[in-house]
Amino acid sequence: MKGALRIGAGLLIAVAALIFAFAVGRPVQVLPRVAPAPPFELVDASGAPVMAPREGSPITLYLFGAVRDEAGMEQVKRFYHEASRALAAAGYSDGVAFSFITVDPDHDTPEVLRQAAERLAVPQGLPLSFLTGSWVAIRMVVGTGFGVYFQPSADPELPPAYDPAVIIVDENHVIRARYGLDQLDSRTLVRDINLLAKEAGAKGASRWIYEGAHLFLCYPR
Amino acid sequence: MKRLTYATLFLVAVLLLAGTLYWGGRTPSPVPASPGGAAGTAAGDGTPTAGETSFYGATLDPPRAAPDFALIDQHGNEFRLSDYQGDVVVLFFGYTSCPDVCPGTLAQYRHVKRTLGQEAERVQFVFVTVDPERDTRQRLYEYINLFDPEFKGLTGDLDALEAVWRAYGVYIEKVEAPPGSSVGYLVNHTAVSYVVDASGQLRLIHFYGMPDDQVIHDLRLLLEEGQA
Repeated sequence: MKGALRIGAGLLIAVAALIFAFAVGRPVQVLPRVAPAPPFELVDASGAPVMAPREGSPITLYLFGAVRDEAGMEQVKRFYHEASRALAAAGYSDGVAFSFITVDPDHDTPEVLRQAAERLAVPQGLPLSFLTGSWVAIRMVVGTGFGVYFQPSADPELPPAYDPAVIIVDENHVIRARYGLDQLDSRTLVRDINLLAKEAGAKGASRWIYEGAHLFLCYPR
Repeated sequence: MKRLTYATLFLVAVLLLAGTLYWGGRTPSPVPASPGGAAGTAAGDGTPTAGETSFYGATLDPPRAAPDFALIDQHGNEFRLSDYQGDVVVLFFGYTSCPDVCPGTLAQYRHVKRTLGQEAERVQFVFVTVDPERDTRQRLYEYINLFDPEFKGLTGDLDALEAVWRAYGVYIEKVEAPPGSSVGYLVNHTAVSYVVDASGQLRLIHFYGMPDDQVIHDLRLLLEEGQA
C-alpha cells in the first residue's frame, strides 16, 4: 500500500515536472493560431478568379496596399524582394507565396494591378499574386476578415488610408502571425516560416507535442 | 514522518503545476500588434459598443450604395434591389439544402419579423440562392413558405447570380457531402447578412449567430433613420 502510494506520488511529480519543464523550457515552439483567415473569392491581375482556402495552399504572406500610394508600394516592393531572397536562401523556394490585396478596389482594376506587378519584378522571386474585387468584397476580406484597418479618402483623387500589415496564413488558412510591414525583418520572417514548416511536417506522436506547445503557449519570444 | 513526506511530495507537485499554469499564462504573444491601434477593426468595421445610437452589427463606414441587381423571386416576379428604397433590406446568401446556417438565419428572420410587428412592413428579408442548380423557383417557393411567405427567395440565370455574388464578395464553394448523406453536395458560403438602409446604402454586416435582440435593435435604428 505504502509502495503504491510512493509510486503514485513519484509519478505525479514526474508528470508535473515534465509539464513544468515543457511550459517553461519550451522545447518546441509554435506560432499562435490567431484566427481563421477569411474565405474569399477575388480576382487576380489577369482577371481570373482566385479562391481561398484551397487544398494544398502554400503558407501565404498577405500584404495590403494601394497602387496609387507610391511610398506604400515602394515599401511593399522592398519587403517582397528582401523576404523572398531570405526565404529562398533558407530553402523555401516553394511552399511559400505572397498575396497583395488592394484596399483601393475602385482604382486598382486587374489591369492596374498587372502594371504594378511588372514594376515589382515579380517573376524573379517567390510567387506574388495581386488581388482585387468589388468594394464590398474588399471590405469583407480585408476589413472584417483580416482585421486590417483602411479608410477610403474623402477626396477620390487620394488613395485610402490603411494599415500596412503583413499577415502570415498557414496551409490550413489560419492566421498565425501579424506584423506591421516595417516591423517584420527577414530573420523573424524566416524563423516564423521555419516554425510553421516544422509544425506542418509533424506526424504521429510529434503532432501531439505540437498540440501541447499550443496548449502551453510555447511561442517564440 | 511518512505522512509528512507524502504531504511534501504532494505540495511539490501542486507547486510545479501552479508554476506551469503561471508561466504558461504569462508567456507573451510574439505577434506584435500592428501599428495604428486599429487591429481587428476595419474601416470602422469593429463591432461598436451598443448604445441608443450605435449598431451591434459591423458598420460600413462610409456607407456606399448597395450594388444594385435584378433577379427573379419565388413567384416569378422580378426583384430589383433599387425598387425597395424606402425599406430596409436584409440580404442573405444561402441555399435550400443547407443543413445549418441558412435555416437558422431564416428562422431568426421570422422571429425578428414577428417581434418588429408593424415596423416589419418596411423591412424586406431577402434570400439569394448560391445553388441555382438545385434551387429552382418552385423549390425556393416551398422553402421560403416554411419560414415566412413574405420573405423573398431569389434566383436567376447563372451569369446574373455570379455578378451579384461577386458584387457582394460572397464566397461560394461546392464540396462533397459526408459519406452517407442524401444531399449529394454541400455549398460552403459566406454566412453574413448585408443590411441596406432605406436610402439604398449598404450600412451593416450582421454575422451569423448574432442574437435576435441585437438584430432587432439595429433594424429599428435604421427604420428610425428612414423616418427622420
